[in-house]
Amino acid sequence: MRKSNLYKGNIHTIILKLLGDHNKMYGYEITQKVKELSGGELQITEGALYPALHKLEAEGWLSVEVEEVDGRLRKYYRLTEAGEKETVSKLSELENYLQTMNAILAKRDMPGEPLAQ
Amino acid sequence: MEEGIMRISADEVKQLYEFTRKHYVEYYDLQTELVDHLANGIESQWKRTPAIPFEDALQAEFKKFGVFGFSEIVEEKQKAMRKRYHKIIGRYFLKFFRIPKIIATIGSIYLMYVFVLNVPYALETLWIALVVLIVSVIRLLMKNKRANKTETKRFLFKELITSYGLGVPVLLIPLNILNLSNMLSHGADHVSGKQAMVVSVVLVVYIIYAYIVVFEIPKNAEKYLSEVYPEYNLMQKM
Repeated sequence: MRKSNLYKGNIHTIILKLLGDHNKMYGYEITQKVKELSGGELQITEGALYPALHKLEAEGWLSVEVEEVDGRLRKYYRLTEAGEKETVSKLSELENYLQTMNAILAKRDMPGEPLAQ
Repeated sequence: MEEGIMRISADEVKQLYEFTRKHYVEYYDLQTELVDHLANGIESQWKRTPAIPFEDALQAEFKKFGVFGFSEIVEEKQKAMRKRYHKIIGRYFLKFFRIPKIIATIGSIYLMYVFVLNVPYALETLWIALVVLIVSVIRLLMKNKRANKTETKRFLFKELITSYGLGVPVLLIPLNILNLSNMLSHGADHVSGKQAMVVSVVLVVYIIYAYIVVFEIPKNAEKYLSEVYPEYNLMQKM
């Protein structure tokens, strides 16, 4: 499968989860963290990251703060209270999905076996 | 700061801002975020290969944004900001339909209804009032647009407050109301109760909307701007 397909639908969940674990992060840091955690398997592209961050911010799930670092301004994102709740629900949604997929993949469909009623 | 690692200089930060402007990022908040991103990327390239010239490293970072460059990010940001702006309008709007303000809202609709039904030339008077309103909104809009253009650091949300909100909905809705009342008065000496009710409700809702975007939100502009842009306050101090 192409790498991009693997996470496309889950980029919001990934961002929320990372911010839940790290208090506050900035855009570049998120791309590097995802790369590091996935051992280079996943790469969030810049073109997908920022629209996702801005969308989550507009939803009220992220708040922003700006700090001066190394002579330039850096924008940090952190979860709001509503964002924390959303993270929990997004993660359990994803977990359910993974369990369902696992169940389907683990079961060998025996030919000739009668269908369960 | 780690020793021996090359850092982006103040002059290079300026060049990065210029670079984002050249690539159609007009607004300061998004420029700032992208400048920091590019700077981080360039510094990490320097960490691996210190000999790469600034320009080459910048081009390599920019390539990562794909063939459309910053344009998708800019578009999506505008969408997100409009959504936030609409949410704020929605919050104000709801207040007029909750106790206690709903009493005034219903009262105004009733007064408008009585006016439309009983006062001679009521619809004509309303047209004139609407035209006066439209002309003053256009003048305000032009003034704000001129002021926005002269700013060196532009903020999208500020422009939504000072021109987008006034522009599209405030100016387009009256045209529909004018059409509606035009249709009603066409060949009819008497406006029916039902028609008068439609005009009254539409007009009062429109007046509430116009009041919110022309007065209420701009009045609290500073509060919203510092909420949406933490850098807004920081910048004023710099």
